[in-house]
Amino acid sequence: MRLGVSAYRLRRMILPGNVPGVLMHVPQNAMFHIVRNRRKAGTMSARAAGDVIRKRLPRGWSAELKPGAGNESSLLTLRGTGGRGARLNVVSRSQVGPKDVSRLVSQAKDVSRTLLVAPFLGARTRELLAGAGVSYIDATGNIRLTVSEPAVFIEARGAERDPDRKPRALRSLKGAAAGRVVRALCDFMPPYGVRTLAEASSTPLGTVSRVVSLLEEEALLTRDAKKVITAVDWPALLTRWVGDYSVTGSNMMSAYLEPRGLSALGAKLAKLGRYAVTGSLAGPAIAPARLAMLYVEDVERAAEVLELVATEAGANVWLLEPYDPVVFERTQTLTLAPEKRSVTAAAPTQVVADLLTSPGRGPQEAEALIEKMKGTEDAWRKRP
Amino acid sequence: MPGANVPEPEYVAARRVLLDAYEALGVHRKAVVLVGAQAIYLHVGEGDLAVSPYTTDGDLALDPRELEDNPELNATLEAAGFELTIRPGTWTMTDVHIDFMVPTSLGGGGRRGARLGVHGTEFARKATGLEAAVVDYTLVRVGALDPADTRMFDVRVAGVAALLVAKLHKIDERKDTPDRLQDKDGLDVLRLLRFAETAHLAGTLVALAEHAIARDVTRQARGFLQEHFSHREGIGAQMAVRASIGLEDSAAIAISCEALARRLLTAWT
Repeated sequence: MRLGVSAYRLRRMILPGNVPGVLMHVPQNAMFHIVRNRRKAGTMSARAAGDVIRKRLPRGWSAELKPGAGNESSLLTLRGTGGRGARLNVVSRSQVGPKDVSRLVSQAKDVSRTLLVAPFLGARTRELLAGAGVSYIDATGNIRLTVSEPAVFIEARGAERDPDRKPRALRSLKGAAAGRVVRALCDFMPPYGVRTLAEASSTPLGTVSRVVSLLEEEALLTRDAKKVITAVDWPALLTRWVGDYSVTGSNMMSAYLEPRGLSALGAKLAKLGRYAVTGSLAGPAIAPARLAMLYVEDVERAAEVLELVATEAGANVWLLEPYDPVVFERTQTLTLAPEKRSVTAAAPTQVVADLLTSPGRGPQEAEALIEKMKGTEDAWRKRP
Repeated sequence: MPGANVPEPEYVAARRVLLDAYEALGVHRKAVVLVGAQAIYLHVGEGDLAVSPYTTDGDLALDPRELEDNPELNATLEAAGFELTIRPGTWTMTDVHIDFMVPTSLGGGGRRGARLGVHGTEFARKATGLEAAVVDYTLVRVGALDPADTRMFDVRVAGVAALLVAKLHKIDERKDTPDRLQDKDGLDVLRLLRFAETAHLAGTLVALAEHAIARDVTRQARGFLQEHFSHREGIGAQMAVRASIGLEDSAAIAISCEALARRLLTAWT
């Protein structure tokens, strides 16, 4: 589909100050014109920009591009019907994001006479450029050209999303979504496909695919010819996860003291809403726990209910506002010695990650727990 | 907890001698109330402090009002094999001491020895702060720790509130003579504070503060708790820290004293 130029014929208006000028308003489908000016994905030449602008100018106007020599920028001269001209410095960039705008402005010789040309400019970038008075054009049809003498104002909307944006290859397992996928991969016994995994981890398919691709590349899971995940090396995956995840870095930790000692804590847990014990208390019990770690939904309320004292020094309880509600999923019921009280503990895989990133004997306890879990995989790994 | 199931031999011996004393006391048993570390242990157990509440001493508060004239106490204990090793009040058998102490306000005239009529002035010594113990106690059936010893006695064991009052007096009394301060007393106070349900403990203390015999010492004890425990740098809080150094986090101990003392003081109004 291609719309004729007349379809874009623009309302003429008088610019403020009674200067005769032109407002060009190009509807969103302007991009259909402009696509052909793109030589290849990810670039837009000054010449192509000049061509697009020339077509947008009112009858009788002209646009002449003089390519810059060497390091000099190209010059675009716009001439109105009265013969008067305005010269714009054309600045070409292959990529411009919001954070680049201020530097661009500070480097410009004359901001109001600068035309930025880029393959794609996002909404926030365009907003910042407009605010700074920089004219711009991108290869998808986003245009804002403003010149006061001779007066011309062209504005057009192109694409909102960069059509060349490739799904970026994932490099880290940071963040809640990656955490959910890792947890699901460890908690659920393969085989399953990414769709099932996406459902089981309440995570968008795209995110799951990227995490799975990364993990496949790192040989932490295996997929068959039909792309079905057939095996997950969960001990290695948990170890890999804690490269990007840590119990104190990924969760919001607040330190408290239970002045009556940890054994007094167990009886009070039932008064909490959702919670999950993690760390040493949920560990392999190779030594008495000196620090209780608890995931709770609301740290301040939990501290009040549990009658804890906020303190950094001497803390024996860490209340954690979780990186993701997944810490409350697939929990286990544990019996705490010596009162033999039943408490809810995070899934063993979560406990391993938290112990691996805990102070003191945490990492050794994690290793012991992994060894124990290797022998009981059928009990704690479920079908998705 | 190590030792929870198999008591240390010192504990076994201390309990055996305590039972020996009870056996010897006969009709006078109703006049004695178990106080001190053994009483605290009966309430609190091992607790979860890494410092064992170990003691070999048996501390018995004696209420002269409940004593019979016969049999004569000194002769009775000697007949049972005890020896008065420190005059007045400390009776010893096989290196285990049993201290008989009379609340000062019930101990009559004299400086150290309690005036016990026919039983003389050397059987027990006077001690301040024990008044609450002869008022607040519960009966606990106490047996030996050695399975071969089948003796059982219903022992009057001072309540948590009375034990707290007694410990606070002991600490305050000795605060100006640091070499007489025993750091474990600070930790014993913390044990009691950790164990007791605050509102219940405060209720008992309020009642004791209105009791004819216990009133004065209980009210004084409130001041001592405030002064020595309700701040982490207080004498009592720091005694608890020193008694657990290397085994417990010092800040945790000091702040626990402060927090629990403040909670009790708030409830105890």
